[in-house]
Amino acid sequence: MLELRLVQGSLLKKVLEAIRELVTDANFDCSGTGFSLQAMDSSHVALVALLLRSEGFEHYRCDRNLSMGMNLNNVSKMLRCAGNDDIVTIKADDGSDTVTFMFESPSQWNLSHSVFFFFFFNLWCLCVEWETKIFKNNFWLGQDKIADFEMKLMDIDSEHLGIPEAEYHAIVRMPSSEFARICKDLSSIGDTVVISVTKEGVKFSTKGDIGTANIVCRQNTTVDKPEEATIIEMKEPVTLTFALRYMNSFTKATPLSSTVSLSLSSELPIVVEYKIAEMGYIRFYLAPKIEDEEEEVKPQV
Amino acid sequence: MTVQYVMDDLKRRSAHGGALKIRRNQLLFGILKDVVDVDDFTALINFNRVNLSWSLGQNSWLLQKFVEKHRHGLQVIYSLSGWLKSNPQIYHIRLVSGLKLEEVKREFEDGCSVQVYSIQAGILKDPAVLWSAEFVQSEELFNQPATFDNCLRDNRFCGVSNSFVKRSVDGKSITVTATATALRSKSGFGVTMLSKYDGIIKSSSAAFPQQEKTQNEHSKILPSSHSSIVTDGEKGNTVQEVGAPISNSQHGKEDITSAHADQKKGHIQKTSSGRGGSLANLWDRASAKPQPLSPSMETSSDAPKTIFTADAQICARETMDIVSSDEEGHNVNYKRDSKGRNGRKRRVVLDSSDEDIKDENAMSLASPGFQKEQLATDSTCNAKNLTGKGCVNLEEQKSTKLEIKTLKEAGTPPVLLPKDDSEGALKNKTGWVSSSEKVQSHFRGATDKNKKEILPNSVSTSPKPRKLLKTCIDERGREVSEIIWEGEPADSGANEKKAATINGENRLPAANKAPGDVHSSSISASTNILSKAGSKKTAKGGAKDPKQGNILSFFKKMLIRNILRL
Repeated sequence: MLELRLVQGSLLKKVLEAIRELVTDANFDCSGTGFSLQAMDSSHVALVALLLRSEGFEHYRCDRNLSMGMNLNNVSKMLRCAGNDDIVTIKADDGSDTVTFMFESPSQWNLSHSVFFFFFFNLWCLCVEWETKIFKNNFWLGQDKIADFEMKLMDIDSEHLGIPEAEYHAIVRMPSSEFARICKDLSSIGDTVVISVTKEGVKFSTKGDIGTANIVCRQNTTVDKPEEATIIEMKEPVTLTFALRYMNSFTKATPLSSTVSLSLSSELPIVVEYKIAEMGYIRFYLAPKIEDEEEEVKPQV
Repeated sequence: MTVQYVMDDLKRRSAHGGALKIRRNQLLFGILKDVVDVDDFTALINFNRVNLSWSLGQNSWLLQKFVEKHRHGLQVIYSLSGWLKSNPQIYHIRLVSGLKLEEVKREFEDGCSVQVYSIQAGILKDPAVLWSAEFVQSEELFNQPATFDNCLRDNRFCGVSNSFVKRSVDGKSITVTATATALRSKSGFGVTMLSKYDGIIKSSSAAFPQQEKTQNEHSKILPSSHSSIVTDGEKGNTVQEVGAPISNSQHGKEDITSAHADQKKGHIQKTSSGRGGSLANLWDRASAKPQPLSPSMETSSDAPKTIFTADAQICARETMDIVSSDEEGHNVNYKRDSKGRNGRKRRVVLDSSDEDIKDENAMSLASPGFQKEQLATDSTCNAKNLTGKGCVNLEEQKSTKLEIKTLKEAGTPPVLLPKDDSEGALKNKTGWVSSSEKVQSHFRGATDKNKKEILPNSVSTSPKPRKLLKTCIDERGREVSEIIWEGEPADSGANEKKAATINGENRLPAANKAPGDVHSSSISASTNILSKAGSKKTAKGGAKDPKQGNILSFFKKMLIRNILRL
């Protein structure tokens, strides 16, 4: 039996929007630790890893490990039916080939209304010593609408990669909106981005038919809001080239977090990580473009 | 134990310097043995590697000693250089395996130079390994930071020195001050040729201090065994040409092995415009563009037979210098003529005929095929560095042009010249023999193309389609290679396209040509447009970029690393 209740249902919508462009079908793995997903894109160039820890859910029940294969576009369709403020509950029975999404819309009452009403209602209850079960359970939250959607599950063959730990030469933390803007701007000029991290800062550059572009972000910690800071932790300079179209896919996760961290190491995939507040993360791994390919051609035949 | 590991190990150890240097040779012996003991048939130690990786001179001698000590289980490739017994005499350099050494040695006259070129664990199946081994070594050194002083910067182990490039020995800079020699009296180029004595076991002193010796040696210049009379087309000047003379008359044969093995570097030096900057930069500059075909090709239009000597480099260097000079309106022809058997002089022929210039330009520019050939020549130069045949083409091209000029003057359309005659003339002039058939046949293709351009109706003499590798260095210093088929019916059209491709590549580096992309950019423009227009589509199952790495392979690598760490 699986039952997950997430008050911030919009978060799940954002997660799906972040990954559905990259991955079409994927297995959602549920275990005692949390709700996770790992999938590669069809060309095996990028990998996405999602983790929503059990602590982040209002209610989390997973009797035994369960893997649910879903078409992400279909999930997205389902989740679009939920309002941004809806509470989302995911339910699945062991051995079942369906999953149920339940959306509970809160009432139009806001918190101040609830507090005000609670105070006087309790006062009145004390006076008349009248309480009902209905009031106890749902009245205060005031859900007006409860909808549930059942979706068929799929059998998806995929192997779960144990992503090895690695020490990265450079880690850049920057505002996620800034990173998204950079990727968007550069992709209008070229198809690849060269990310080079030096002690001066991080440079994003591209080259295209119409010209070249270089965007340098220097370390900037003196900002009012910590999420606006650009922090560069560099052990050694690193320069890698990546396909911008994947980067742009990754930036679909921008709404999930105000900051993004890029971890780079020579000859390793870049890790673009968006932290999901208090719950977990979504990490994108992208293989760099190989710069030196030996030509196995004889000089003359 | 891999070769790389061994090399790193040695570098690490040598980094400690001091006392370890004393034992370097012994150490090297041990490491060489480790390398060849491994049944890695690709492991190859050539003398250049000893040079470049471990900064050791006298490498050939070291290898020789090593071979003597560890004869068993070793495959040796020797470099033979000397005069062939054939008539007419030809100075010849050849790489032969140890098995055939005696057999090939018989073809040479007595006193030919025999040096160990490389040692390896097994017999090489593909001679290209020889080339790639050297290329990788050179590339490694060139990839080092510009501030890092490695032996390639000043080409210090090359037998040919260049006055514009300062060499440093143990941190001290040595400027090659070229004194007046017969070689440079006219041109002013400080190119001196180092001569080493008696092949295998010879002067153990460092290469640089030999320069004084060299001055003396150059005063004794061997007479060329061949000379040919070539008539200048326009002026009717008759210039007696001499094959490139071989210096060192006392010993007869010149040890040019080091020269030719370092020919790649020598090539770099040739391109030096005299500022003596980093050789890596010079190489980059020189190779980024194909050498222009210009009247300067004619300037040193002699047809040397001893093409592997420093003379060939001098010729090429003159050529480059003339190209870089800003003399306009004057066709400066540097001719060499022979004054007797014991000396040689160069004559500067100033030809102010504009027509001539135009003609030459027209000929060279209007023939993309020829330009392509020039590119191919460059690549062949690169590819053939080890065998020392590289720059033969250059010389041969010159000789072909010369031939055409001669025919012009005689009033005979060049195309009427039967192919065989042309070849014969070429052969006679260059003295080139069957051992270099590839090169010659390659050039023959160029000659044919020239003929076709002049008279397309001439009898087709195109050779069989031949695969060539065009190599050039792009603006970021990477080597860009392209395979072309020479001699196909639609060759000229294809060549034009390819030439355009190359030019286009220089002008508009395609966006999806990420750094490192070496594909032909002929489709890049259209691909760019397409990929931009439909990048989302291509992201989902479109044609995969071959440059794009697979993430699984990276994770595997990471796993392996982690395992190795544990």
